[in-house]
Amino acid sequence: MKEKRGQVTIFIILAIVIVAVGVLVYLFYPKIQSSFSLNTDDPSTYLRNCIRGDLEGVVNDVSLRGGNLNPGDYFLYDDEKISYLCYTNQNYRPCVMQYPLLEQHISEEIKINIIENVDSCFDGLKENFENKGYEVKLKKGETIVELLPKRVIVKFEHELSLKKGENVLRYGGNDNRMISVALNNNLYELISITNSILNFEATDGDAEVITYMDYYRDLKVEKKKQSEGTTIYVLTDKNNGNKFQFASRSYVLSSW
Amino acid sequence: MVKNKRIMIGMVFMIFLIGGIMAVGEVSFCCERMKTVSGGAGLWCQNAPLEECYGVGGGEFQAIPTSCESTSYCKLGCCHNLNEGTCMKNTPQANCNDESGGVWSDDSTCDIPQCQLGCCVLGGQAAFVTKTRCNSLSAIYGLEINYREDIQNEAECISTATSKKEGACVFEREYKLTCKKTTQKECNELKTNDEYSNVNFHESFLCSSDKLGADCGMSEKTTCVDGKDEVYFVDTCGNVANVYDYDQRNNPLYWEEIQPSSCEFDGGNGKICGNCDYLDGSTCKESKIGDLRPALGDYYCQDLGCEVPDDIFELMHTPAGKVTTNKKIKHGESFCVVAGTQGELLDGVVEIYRDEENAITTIDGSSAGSGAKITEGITEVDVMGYDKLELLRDKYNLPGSRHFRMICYDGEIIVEPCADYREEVCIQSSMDEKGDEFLTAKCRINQWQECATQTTVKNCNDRTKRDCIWFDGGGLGVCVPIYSPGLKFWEESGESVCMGATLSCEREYLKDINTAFQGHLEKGSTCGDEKWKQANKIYSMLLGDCGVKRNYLGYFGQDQGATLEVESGDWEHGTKVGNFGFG
Repeated sequence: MKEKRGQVTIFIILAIVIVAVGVLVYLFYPKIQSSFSLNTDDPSTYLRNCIRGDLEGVVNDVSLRGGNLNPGDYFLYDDEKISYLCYTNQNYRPCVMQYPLLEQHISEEIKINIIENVDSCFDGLKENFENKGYEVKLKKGETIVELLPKRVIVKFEHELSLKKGENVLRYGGNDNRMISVALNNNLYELISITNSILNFEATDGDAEVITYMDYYRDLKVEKKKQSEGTTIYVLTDKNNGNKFQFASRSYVLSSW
Repeated sequence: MVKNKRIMIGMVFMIFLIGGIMAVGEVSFCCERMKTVSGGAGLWCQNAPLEECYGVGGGEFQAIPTSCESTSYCKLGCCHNLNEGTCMKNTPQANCNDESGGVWSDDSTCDIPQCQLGCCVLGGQAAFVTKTRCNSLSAIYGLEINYREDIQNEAECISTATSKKEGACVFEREYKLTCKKTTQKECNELKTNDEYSNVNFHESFLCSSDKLGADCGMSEKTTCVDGKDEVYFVDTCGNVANVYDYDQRNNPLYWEEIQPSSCEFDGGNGKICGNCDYLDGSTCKESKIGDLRPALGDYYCQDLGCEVPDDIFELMHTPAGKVTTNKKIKHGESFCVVAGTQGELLDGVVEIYRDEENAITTIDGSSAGSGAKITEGITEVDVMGYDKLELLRDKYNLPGSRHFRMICYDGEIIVEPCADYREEVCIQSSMDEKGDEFLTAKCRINQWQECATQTTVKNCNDRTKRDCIWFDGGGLGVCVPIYSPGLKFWEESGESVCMGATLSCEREYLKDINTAFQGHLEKGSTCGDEKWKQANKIYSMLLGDCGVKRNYLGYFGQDQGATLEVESGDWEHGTKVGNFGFG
């Protein structure tokens, strides 16, 4: 009888230990994963892992706020500050285009808001390889953000050389091994559609959402007219839920 | 009576006049850039007071006391992006940055050669864009530039991309004669590969054709194809064949050549026909548990229509009602809902149909068995009686109510609010499409502003020009809005419209020298009587959010809203004036 009780106790303790380990793994897994992934011998992989999270966050926030991370002129919609991309403060007048080169503006906005993290990632990269016994030379260069169909690419014109013994590995500069980080995102496509809607807003003060959904089947376009004459457009990619939101105020009627 | 109307019209003009004077009272500048809330550089080219303009003191940006339309620095034009090929209208020159590839031209509509659109064919895709953008896209995809200026609309452009001629590419591989459905170009590429021999392309043929002698045959499998709507048969080699049609499953002729579908999907024959059409409201989908099970294969035409959900008013963020109808709405259809109705139609879908051609407005609240349906056409109801007007007054156009356009798309209802304060109204009509009714709705401007100035029944009821209806009101004879506007009645602008209902009439008494204070009534016996008061009360409510009304949530206003004032007249001339007003 005593033996049986002892066995049961052991099983209970074992079960508690297993559960505790499970809980710890669950709680700390992301940290464990990130510390593993940053501890790599490939500089590109290191940078990708270091930059990706911040890049995703910035791209997402910029998209939800009409192309500006901290909009100066905005409409507050669902607790989000949404930039006016076309605006007039008058009634019965067409809006004035505020960002005619929207794609370039958004590229620049993303760049400005990731640059600090990019710098610290390169510093971390240098330190990481120095700790592994490499002689590291890092010449910092420009960071370029490109919006392309179905992806956002961040390229670094940094030059990095890693030397250990006689072996020298070079990255960036004129070398073909330019360091870059790519993010699957269709911001490029959503900006194209935004430009088209804005041209309708500038001429008619309105755009028909069904037309866009007929042509682009993975796209959902919502138009939300607000009380003081602002229209919020929400473009959603149905495949991945990516959104781009912006505000326009054009041909406003008299009551406002 | 004539005097009443004159006073009323005069007041309406006064309202606009006062508004105009107020508008020009403050000197407005054309700010090249405005200040943001935080004081930084903000919006381009807005008319505003000088203190709201940015960078004027330092000479960075300009501001002169005139409208932006009259300035050179805020002249609007077209900004053409040399790198991306986009063209943006209504852009001020200074905001079209040449360092970023912007080129400005003096045509705000972008009707310039650089902005002409054509069809850019990119492999299996196409985009209706400018030539510059086509060059840019082709470079990104690493494709040869194929720009078709002869194609002048987007639909034709997109269909061009998918119209590549395909056929059966028969080849020998590992001593076996087999086949792949592809284009001639791709088939020719196999000829350069040593693994393949005896490569031959047979345009328009299917690999399952007996004539080709390949090892591919008929099968009962089906599939969906990327970029296409229909369900397709698949042959035994895995090649896509013709559109799924149960009746053709064993017909060798149907498996011989690429041919149009032999069946027509009608919404009810999804088990046996895979000829779905996205624009018609169906698309290919894998059948899962609970879905329709096709007679062959695992794919079927999914209906993209919508059921009007019970929580439709929650979607619109208003607690005003609940939908009890289970009406099925087709993919692409749009319909109107007016949120915020009271009375017996509280729990019903209230739909306002507007047949512009026949000038018929139907207000339908016939759900939940209430059966309330009112049709107002100008031929039938040129002059509104009390019963219908009371309906407009009590159940529609209540303070806070709003029109919504609902769009059914891809199985989902998208809510599109029309402009608030009923500045826009939702207008619904139905088109006959292949013998089937198809609903379309649109938010359009509520043309109520001219109602008060119409003095004849004919002009008032001219629906091509305005949304007004004649209110006889027991001889009052006034023109009122069909969709009375929402007003900011707590502000001056709202008050001024409601003041339009402040009317006066005259009673004439003959002074009796034998009595102290009451003369004999000579004229105006109806002035200020109960009927007169009632007509004016209704009139004030029909003007807009005036008078005592329930709001869209069912609550009454706080103030009395309407008062009757009788002023002492000039007894010397035997006249006494009664003023009747609502606020």
